[in-house]
Amino acid sequence: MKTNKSQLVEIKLSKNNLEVPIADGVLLHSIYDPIREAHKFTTQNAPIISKNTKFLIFGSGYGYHINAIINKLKESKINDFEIYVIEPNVELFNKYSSSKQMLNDKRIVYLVGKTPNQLYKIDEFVDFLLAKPAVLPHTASFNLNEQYFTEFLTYNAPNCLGDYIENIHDSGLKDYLKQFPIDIQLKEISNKLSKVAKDEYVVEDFILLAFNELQKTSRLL
Amino acid sequence: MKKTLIINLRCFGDIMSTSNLIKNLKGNDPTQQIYILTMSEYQKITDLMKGVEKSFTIDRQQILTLSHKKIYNDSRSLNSFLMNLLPINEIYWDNIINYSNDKIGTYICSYLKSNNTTAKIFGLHYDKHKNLVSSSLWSEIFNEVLTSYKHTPFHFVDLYNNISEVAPDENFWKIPKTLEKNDIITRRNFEQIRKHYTINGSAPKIIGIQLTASSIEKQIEPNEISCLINKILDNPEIYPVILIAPNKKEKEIAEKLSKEFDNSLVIVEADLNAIPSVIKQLDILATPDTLIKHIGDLFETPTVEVSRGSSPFLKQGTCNPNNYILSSQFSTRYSSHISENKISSNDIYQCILALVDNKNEKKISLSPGISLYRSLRDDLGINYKFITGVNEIDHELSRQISRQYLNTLVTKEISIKLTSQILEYKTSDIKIWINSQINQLTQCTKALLSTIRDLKQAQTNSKSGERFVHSLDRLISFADMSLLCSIPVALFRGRVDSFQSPKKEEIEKLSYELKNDLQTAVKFLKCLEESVLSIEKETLTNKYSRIVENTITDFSRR
Repeated sequence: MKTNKSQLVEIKLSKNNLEVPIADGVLLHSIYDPIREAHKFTTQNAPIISKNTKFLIFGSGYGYHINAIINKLKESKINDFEIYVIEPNVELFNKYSSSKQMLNDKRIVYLVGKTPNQLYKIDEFVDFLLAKPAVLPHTASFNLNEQYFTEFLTYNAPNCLGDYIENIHDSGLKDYLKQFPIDIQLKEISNKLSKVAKDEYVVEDFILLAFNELQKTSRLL
Repeated sequence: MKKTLIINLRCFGDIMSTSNLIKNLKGNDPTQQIYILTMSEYQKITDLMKGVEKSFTIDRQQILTLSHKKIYNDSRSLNSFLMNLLPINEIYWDNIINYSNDKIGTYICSYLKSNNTTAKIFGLHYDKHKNLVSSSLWSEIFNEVLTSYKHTPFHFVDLYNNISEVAPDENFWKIPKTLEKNDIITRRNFEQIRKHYTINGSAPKIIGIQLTASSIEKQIEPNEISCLINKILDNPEIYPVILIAPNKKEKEIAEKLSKEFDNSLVIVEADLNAIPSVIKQLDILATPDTLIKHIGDLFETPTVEVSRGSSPFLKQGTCNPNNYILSSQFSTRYSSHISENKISSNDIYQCILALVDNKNEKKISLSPGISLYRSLRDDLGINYKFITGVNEIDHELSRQISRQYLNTLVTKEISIKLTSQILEYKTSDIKIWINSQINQLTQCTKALLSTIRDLKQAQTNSKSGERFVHSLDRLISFADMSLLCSIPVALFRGRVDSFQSPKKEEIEKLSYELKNDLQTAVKFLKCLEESVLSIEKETLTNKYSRIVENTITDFSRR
């Protein structure tokens, strides 16, 4: 998957004198009043914003919608929020980050110019996704990068041992898994362990056998 | 300081019930530190338990989310699982108790044992050849016998004590934690009810009725709950309060019920933090729910358990002496083609009255197809006395006698105690039961001898292998018949299955062990028969002595 790095970005001024980016000829915010447009965006999404503290935003644009969300949260006296913004266009982000619109807030994390595969390798981001954030697509950015965001949403992680063995934290388990072919899946290793007898079982065998049994208990949740 | 880890990966009621074992472990050695491993969705229960140094959890929800969503590769879920196990693997354990005895718990025990070879495992684990190792005969009985033998000779609480080699400690502290704030609110509210409904200086006893259970099949039927409330309201000595959890579903059911009583019902909405305070201060509890029942037991609140559905019959019944269990007759509990008989409001009401005053027990008359048991303690632990209703003699004798047979297997000493629960039946009935069991034992022994013969032939002639498999199958089929001989056969089956790939010599050795166990069973039954005969003789002698005595008295009067 490639990001849309090649999009041409130019900046225009809106009727009320605010900077508005145009990427590949597409206006990312209202050319009349981007702040009013962002306010409308938060009003439409008010039920979602009021019930969540974690947000995943597709597209940074020039941040008008992000600032509006933060204002909405501040109105509700919510300060412990966390926002991740995915922006595929590096050039757009560079311009945005040097603009007045960019808020310097530690609660906002920007993931810029990364492929879905790279995004899903970031531990903090995966932890964030597991907390089930509310997803808020910035419509203009989403439409412009529809293929990118669709691939992010329908991403299937490569799941052969060789694809992730280096991400296994436990060194003992990592060494143990190295004995298997790289194109094998974990499920195949666990099934074989359950069904085919070995002369001697090591600690990692018992970890995988327990892990395999745990998978079967999903009906109990 | 000893460190003990209890692995319990089961659900709410089972986890709360672990408190009995923790109480006994602490009672036997107050200095030992007890830790518990559960699934994270049940951590709220471990938070209520006293005597737990720390609880560890497996975040099943997160691990399964990571496993099942295709956006993540398997390293995520595997790392998450290992992160959960890491803190328990870092502690040097003296004892590890495999309480749940399920496969996950057993593999985790084996994993911990691999890293901590001196830890003593109670219950099941695998050795390095993946042969299943039971820590004791009690552990085998728990896993092999109680899973197939339907008469429930032992209560789970006693089996866990026996598996963990601890003696029951009746006098140790009460277990669930309660928050003082909740205690005060409950006490104030209950005092108001008592004060408001006091007649002639006599305050009513507060009866808590648990409205729902973990599944619909276990619940008391709604119309029966309404009738029960009406009956209680008509009796000035008692007053009902309805117990619900603060969730939408239960609130809706309670609201509907309350409307029937012009919204005058007292509905106690208590979450897991508050429910112990409520149960502790009830006078009597009536419940179909296992978690609520276990909390009631721990606080010694007199309880009527309504046992319905697939819940294990008597295995985890309410266990404080004098509590009642209402159940559809035994034979319908395990039958897929006979529907369970209905436990009526009147059945529950009569049990409540018997808890108010035990003289009322004699007056109890139950609906058709219902049986009533009362819990008691005997030499072997928690037992249940059949009180009234459908009395299935074969089942009752099997339950009481197999209890003593299992004790004989463990102690290796044949000892028969003709308890009042056995002697409640006519000696002629007991003799019929013994004869029937001996006949089955003979059939079972024949099946065993055929198996041994076919096994020997299979060792020299490979074509006889099929015949051996056939006779082994026939022998093993006795394990599921719930006869006395089913017990040693179930143990044999478990021992054969415990080998990853059993060799013929190992099966032969186990077959001879089974032969010994079957012979012990015969000796046990003969000994029982002799005891019954001597009782008969004694009764007869007493009867004749009385007749002679009466005749002499009559004669001298003349």
